[in-house]
Amino acid sequence: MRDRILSVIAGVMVLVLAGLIIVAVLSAQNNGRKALENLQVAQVQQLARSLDSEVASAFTAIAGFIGPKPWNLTPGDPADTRRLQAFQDQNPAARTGYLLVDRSGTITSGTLLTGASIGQPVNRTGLVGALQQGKPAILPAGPGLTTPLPTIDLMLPVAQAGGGPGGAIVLESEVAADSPFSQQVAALRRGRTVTYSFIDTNGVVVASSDPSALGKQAAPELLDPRFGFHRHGSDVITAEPVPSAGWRTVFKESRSEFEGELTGPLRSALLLIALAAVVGGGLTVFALLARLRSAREEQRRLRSINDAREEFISIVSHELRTPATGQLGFLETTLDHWDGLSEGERKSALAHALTNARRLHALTRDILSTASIEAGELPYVFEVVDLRSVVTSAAAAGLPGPPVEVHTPDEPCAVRADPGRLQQVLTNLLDNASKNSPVDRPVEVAVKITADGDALVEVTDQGTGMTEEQAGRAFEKFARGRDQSIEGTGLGLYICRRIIEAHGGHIWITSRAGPGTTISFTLPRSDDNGGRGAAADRLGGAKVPADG
Amino acid sequence: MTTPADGPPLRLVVADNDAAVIDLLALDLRLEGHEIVTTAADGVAAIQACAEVDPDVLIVDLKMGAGPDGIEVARQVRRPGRRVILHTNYVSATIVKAAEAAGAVVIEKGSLRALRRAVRGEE
Repeated sequence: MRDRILSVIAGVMVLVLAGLIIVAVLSAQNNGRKALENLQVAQVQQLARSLDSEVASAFTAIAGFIGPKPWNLTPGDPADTRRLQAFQDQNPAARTGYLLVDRSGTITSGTLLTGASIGQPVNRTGLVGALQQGKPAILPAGPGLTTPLPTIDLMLPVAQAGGGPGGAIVLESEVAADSPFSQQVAALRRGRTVTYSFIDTNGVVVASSDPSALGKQAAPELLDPRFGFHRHGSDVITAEPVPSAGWRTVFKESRSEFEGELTGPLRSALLLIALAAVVGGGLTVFALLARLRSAREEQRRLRSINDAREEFISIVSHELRTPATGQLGFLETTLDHWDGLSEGERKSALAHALTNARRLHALTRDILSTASIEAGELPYVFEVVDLRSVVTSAAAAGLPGPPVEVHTPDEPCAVRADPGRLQQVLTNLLDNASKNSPVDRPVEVAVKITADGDALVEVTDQGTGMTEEQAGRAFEKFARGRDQSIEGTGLGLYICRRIIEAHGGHIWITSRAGPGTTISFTLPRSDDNGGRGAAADRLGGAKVPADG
Repeated sequence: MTTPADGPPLRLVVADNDAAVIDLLALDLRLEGHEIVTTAADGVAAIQACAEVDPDVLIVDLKMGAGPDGIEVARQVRRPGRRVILHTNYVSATIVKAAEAAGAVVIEKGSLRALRRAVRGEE
């Protein structure tokens, strides 16, 4: 439960961290977008100011070019016509001409006239108003009078000879993709959706980076009266005025493309950071949980060790008390009733006391052996011994119980071993067999030679068989036997295994359902009748004096 | 047969899963002048023996493997005039209290003289 709560908290922290990162990146994205918008506005303002300045310069330059000399301003006046032609001749490649109009807007002279003739009024919005004001002006786009194409017209007031009301010279400029102004605007084109447009007071596109829009009514979003930056549907628009021409400069780009340069990398960064946060957080959570699990495992292991230790103390204290009290009891009753006991009864009581003393000795030896095994300090003194004699001796020294039948081969079975430790193994195996066998059924001990030439000892009882699981655990420390009611420390078979392994042998259990269990062990046979100690070096056992 | 120091011989049942303990108690208490009517190796056999031979005293071990333990046996065989002695290595306040509730006295293994007095009802 605690693990789950911790993992939920860690997960929430990872999500919060990822959320904070996302907020920070989104904030950076917003700031970046604002900066981009300001940059775009500045660029369009600069463009508008530049054009405004150019228009003013153009008016000044044209005024200087024309000069202050008054005009006659009568229809077809030869002098006016010559002067206009002289201007026209200055630029032989020009595709548009000049018009001279009187105060009422009627053409009095002209060059390259195609769409009108002398004596006709110029029908162009704003012309009359501009003539009345007497100021230079750029007239809105309209049908060309000196070219078949639509034009924008620059109008400069001129004086009339004789103090007449005056008139104006009108210079036409084609609204065409290849006009110098349009080419200048086209150079601003970038990206897939960017358009720069110059729109006159009638809403006609007089110059654009999109040639298809030239001379046509501008799209509604370009005519939005607001200046500055604003969004219109899926587009962004920036508009600034060109006061000298009465135009508006309009920048338009699709929103996705406009923000793409900023949001694309930011979005990728956001994704990578969020991914890194999730992965990093996930790994951290995983590592923490693994560590927590490991700590819990360690806690469980320590608890298990503690439980085992307490159980061991409980078992050992009981196992030690049983023979100790038995020994005390038989000695006490013998002494208290010495005169009342027959000779045979005295011997029997003392034999019982001796048996209990031996059991006590065996138990203390097992406990001390286990401690030495655990410390890696169980001493061994190896020598070449006849396994038959060790087995026979162990069987003869056994505790009361079922009879023990010993089967040995006729020929010697030499092994290099510590006879005291082998005796300990056999005593434990016989004690184990005796405790599990019916009193009237013999325990059998057989010494054999295996096909591989190893020595083999089998101890077979007629007690309850072992399950596979019991047999698998039987050689573990503190493992209890097949019958839980049978007393024991659970150390005997563990000690047997460790001693046999230290001799380079192998020990195992053969059991089956029903009565009968055989515990077998093998030992490498010795063909060496040499002195003590050689095997100890080979097997890695400690070589110390037997009483050490 | 000797005669008990105080009072007439008593009829005893001894129950323990350790045969050596039964041998010891049977020998000692017989020499004390009592009659060991029968023995039992587990709780079920002890209850059955009490039903069959109706002893004056039951000496019963606490833990005897599977089946009822000594306290449960005491609870089942208690009757007026019968002494039940819980003879065990496991002595604790909890066990003494449970034994008393079951009508038994607790004698720790290891002292035959204490057991003899308990059999005679001196403790």
